Amino acid sequence: MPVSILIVDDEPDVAVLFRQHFRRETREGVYVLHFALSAAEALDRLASDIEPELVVILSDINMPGMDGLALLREIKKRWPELPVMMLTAYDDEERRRRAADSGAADFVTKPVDFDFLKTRLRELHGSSV
Amino acid sequence: MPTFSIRLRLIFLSVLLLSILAGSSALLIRELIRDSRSLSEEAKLVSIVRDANSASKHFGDLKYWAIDSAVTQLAGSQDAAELAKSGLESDLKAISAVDPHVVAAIGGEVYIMTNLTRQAALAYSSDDSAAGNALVAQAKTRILAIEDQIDKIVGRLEEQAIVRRDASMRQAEFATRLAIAGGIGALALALGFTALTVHSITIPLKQLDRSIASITRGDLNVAMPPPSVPEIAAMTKTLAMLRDSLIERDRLEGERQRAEMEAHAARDTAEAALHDLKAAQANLIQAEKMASLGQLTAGIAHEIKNPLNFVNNFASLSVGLLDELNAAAAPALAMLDARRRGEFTEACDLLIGNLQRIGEHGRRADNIVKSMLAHSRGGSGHLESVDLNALVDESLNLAYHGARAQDQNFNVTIERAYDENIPPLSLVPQDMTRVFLNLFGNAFYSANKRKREMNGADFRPTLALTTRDLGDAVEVRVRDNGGGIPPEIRDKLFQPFFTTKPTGEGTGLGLSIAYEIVTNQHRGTIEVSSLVGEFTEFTVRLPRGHSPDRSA
Repeated sequence: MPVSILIVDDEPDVAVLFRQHFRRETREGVYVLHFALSAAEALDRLASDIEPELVVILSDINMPGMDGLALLREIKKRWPELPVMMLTAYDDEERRRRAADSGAADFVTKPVDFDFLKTRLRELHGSSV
Repeated sequence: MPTFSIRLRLIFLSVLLLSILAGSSALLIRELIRDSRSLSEEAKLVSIVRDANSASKHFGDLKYWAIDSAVTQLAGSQDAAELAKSGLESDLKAISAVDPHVVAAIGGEVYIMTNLTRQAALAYSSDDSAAGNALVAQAKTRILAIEDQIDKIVGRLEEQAIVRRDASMRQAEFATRLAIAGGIGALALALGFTALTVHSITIPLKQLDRSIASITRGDLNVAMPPPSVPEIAAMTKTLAMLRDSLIERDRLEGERQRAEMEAHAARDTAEAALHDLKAAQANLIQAEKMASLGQLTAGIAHEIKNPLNFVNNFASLSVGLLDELNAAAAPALAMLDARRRGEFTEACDLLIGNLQRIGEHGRRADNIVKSMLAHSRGGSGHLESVDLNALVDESLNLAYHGARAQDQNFNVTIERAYDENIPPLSLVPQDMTRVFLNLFGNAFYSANKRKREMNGADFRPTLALTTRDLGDAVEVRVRDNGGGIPPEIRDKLFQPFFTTKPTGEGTGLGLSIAYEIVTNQHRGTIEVSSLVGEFTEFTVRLPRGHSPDRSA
């Protein structure tokens, strides 16, 4: 039974990158990847039901308009159970602390170590693999 | 006498001297008058005595000739008796003033005596000898009485003359002594008063002279003579005015010099302030430049970071994809001939090599970007109370082992001089460690580069490390004996991307980040001094009791 992952990043090539890295997983029916280019789009996508079941959101922090941390807080307000992992090119204590305070499930720095990311994803939704 | 003028004093002295002269003269004149009076009286007495003696002689003649004429009745005797009698009468008249009663009595007796002789003469002429003898006898009795009286007067007069002469002599002696004593006294008195007057004038004059000499010498701290003499007091007043004006002049001169010195000091202070201000301004400009350069650097890094990530990600993905491609194409490849298969394999290998190089250079670029991002990452670390010596020493060990790991031949002499009294300091340990790693790394690099350049000559790369408590700050000095930094590039040392190392060995960001951390984050200073061919010394000063700026 596949599950959905929503990736929020203002860079369109992030979708290309993720699709290539998760080529095997999508082919094998483990994950279905969804992409949003802004926080607003992500909230729209969340409002309309995502099929199959959405198990995790990966969001960039630095984005035009509503940034990733604001999106995180909004999601935690409306869907408190939904895990959100933050992705950022900037690894600093301040961001990590604020993300954790706002309820982020994890904090992953770019360039993304996809092996590490996949391990964390498996840990998050457990039984899917 | 204190306030009498010199003229008055001299007039007074003259009057006094004239008085003394007049007094002594008057005294002498009086004595002379007394002497002359005494002499004239004595002369009068002598003449009376002579008259008395003459009377005595005339009476002797008279008694002889009266008796003789009575007896002889000679006319010659008669005349002689008459002459003697008139002489006697004239003498008696002259001395009658001495004792009129006695002289009158003598005259009476003479008259009786002459009458008796005349009667005797008559008796004898009448030849009554007896009567004549009796009368002569009576006359002789009278003569004895008269002689006795005249002798008494003569004796008394002579006695008086002697007394008078003695008195005159005494008087003359007294006058002589008085003249001598008076002369001496007057002289002494005159000398005394003259000396007193001269003294009273010369004493203040001498004092004035001393004061003038003193002022001429330049000693103005001199007392003025008391105003005892009006003329000198006027001079003293003038001199005092001169002295006061000189004192005033000196005071004004002193004030002028003081004012000048103050002006000098003020100018020096102002110049020093200006110098400080210029230095502060230069520092500010430098800091501003560094800050904007830092921001620019961080901004560039931000912008490059994402595309670079894509480059790296896609490069590594592509390697995996090529493997997949090879695997998928393997059956088809097996059907190709050896030459074509070789071409394919060669192209694939080249592609893989290229992708690896893209990844390699991408990682290198990523490292640079990470360093650049450190400019915007200040303050991310936690503030901790740290033993500075321990932190420095730990950084030194890290740097040393890092250098040893890169170069087996690396060696350096390390001289540590830690001030053990530095109290714990509040700073961000990771960031300060980064600063010291940078400084030590540069020092090691420079010292060893010089050793290589000297080609085995006797040179020992040395790093001297000093920490010092400055009271309100602490100081860390990192000194190496490398080739030094030429003055023309010293200004650029802390600029981002400035490096003297060959391409690939240094990012040019180490000192830039160190500057950022020390200056902006810890509000300290970092300075460099260097002598080409001798040494380079970096001095880091961190203020005590100042919280590092978390927002930097």
